[in-house]
Amino acid sequence: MRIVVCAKAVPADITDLKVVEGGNRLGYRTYQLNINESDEYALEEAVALKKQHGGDVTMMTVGRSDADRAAYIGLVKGVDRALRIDADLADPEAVAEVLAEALRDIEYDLILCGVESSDNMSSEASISLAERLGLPFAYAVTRIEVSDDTGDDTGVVFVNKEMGGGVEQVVEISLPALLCVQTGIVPMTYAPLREVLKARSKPIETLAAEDLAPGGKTKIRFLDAFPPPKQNRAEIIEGELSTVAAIAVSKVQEAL
Amino acid sequence: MSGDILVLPETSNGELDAVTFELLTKGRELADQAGVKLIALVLGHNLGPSVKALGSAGTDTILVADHPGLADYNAERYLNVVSRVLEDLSPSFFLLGYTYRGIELGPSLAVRCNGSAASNCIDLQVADGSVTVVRPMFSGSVHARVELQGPPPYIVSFQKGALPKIESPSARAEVVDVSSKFEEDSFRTKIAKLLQPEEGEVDITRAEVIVAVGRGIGDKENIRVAEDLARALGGTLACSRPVVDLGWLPSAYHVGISGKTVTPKVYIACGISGASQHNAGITGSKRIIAINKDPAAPIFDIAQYGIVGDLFKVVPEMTRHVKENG
Repeated sequence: MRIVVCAKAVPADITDLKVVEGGNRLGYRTYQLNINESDEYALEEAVALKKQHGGDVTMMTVGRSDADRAAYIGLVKGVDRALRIDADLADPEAVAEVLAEALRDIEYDLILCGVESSDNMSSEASISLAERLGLPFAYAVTRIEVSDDTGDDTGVVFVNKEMGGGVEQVVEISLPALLCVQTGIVPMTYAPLREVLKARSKPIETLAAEDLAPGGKTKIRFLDAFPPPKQNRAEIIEGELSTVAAIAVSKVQEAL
Repeated sequence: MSGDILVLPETSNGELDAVTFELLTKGRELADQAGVKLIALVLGHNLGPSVKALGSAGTDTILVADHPGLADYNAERYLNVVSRVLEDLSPSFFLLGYTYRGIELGPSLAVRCNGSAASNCIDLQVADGSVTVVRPMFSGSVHARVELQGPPPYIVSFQKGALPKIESPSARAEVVDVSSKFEEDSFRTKIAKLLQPEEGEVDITRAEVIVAVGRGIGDKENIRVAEDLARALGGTLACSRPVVDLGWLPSAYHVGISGKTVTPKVYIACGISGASQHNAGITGSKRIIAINKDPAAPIFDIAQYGIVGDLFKVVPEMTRHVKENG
């Protein structure tokens, strides 16, 4: 099974956020970039599927060189090939476009993505990518079972997908397909810092976004970024620990 | 932008979800502003009750795609119908919920219909031909105002609860059958079965007091701190998504959009930051008390009472008070 994982490198904490480049994106300072949480679960699931069914895993990311850290973590966790599209794109449609172009030269049975990035929070790029590639897709996948029936060349996967309220659908999807993996699908492994540093000697293939989508233009413009307005702020109980706890308990009992 | 405003109602368990009426409120505003029609498109099978409920909810027209092939939600099948309706209608806006359905349908339709998608929005404004949305970014710590510069239709999904719900009763809407838009095709996704949530030993939806833990609980072993308080109060333990993902508690305890919606008299959130996916599951609680180290945690926006502090000190002290004072 040939699997492609699309994983985004996202900041843990940001400071000095502002609109830059005439609104093309938001600029900020951050200590370092990590793999987006649900994308990391997609990566773990890809490696788990490779262990069960053989094949290989290619990890793709869109970002500048500071995103390579995500690729190094991927390589430590068992990715065979890491590829970065060099671009700083804030428009998920533009991200989907360059990924779709790059994937035209890559063979795959399955593309795994996460459910939502912590920075952009739109869940758009992966579904848009599926549509651009003409692939069937499923969002919020909590289980992937690869059919072992190899008599049929096309192949299928059975997936559980969340429908909300704890309800799930079991869906049969023919391959190739794109799945957006929910957090918690497999246990998360830990990539030791020493291993991640060692992985820096491994190659990361880099493609230029401009070669993939010449003249590609972002279709959104950031006008403003501001802290969310505070609403119904809680009344904060302050004081000595014992007093605070006593008041909190009285607030509980009052409502019963 | 002279096209009509199209809204996709959300249903759950055969009933219209609250987000439907929020979308209709924004849809009505946009339609009145542009002097165009507000149209709802419902898909499924045996849609009588939904159509009836929508009839007087402020829409001008209800398009109904009622077909056995649409009985269960399946993105591929729904896209088959919705993309045809969008082609015929050329609406200026298509409003959906940022829900399991809306997340799948919105971006695909934007590609299929050459429109512009914006997802997880909390506001949308049109002024002088410019379309702007406001949406959360960076784990909700920032709101960004973004201008959509692509072509219509603008396919915009909204977070549940973000828009006000204003009742605007209207004359009965015209109902138009568009079931013939659905065509059987060689679909590549098939719904094999529907799994209801597992009936565990706990039913958190019936609890009067819930003590819930989040990532801030730090470790599986630490959960007993919250469990002790729950037991002392005669309540039930629950948790947010990360706790289930980390394998610290089974999914029966999970509160939020992807888990259970709870409506206790008291909900005590311990070490839960309050992501929108979690908060959507507790808005029906009578009283919410939050304990968190981070004074900026969004949980304090939804709680009535808050304690900024170390839950490992506060929670055991609360348990002691309950035990001592009965």
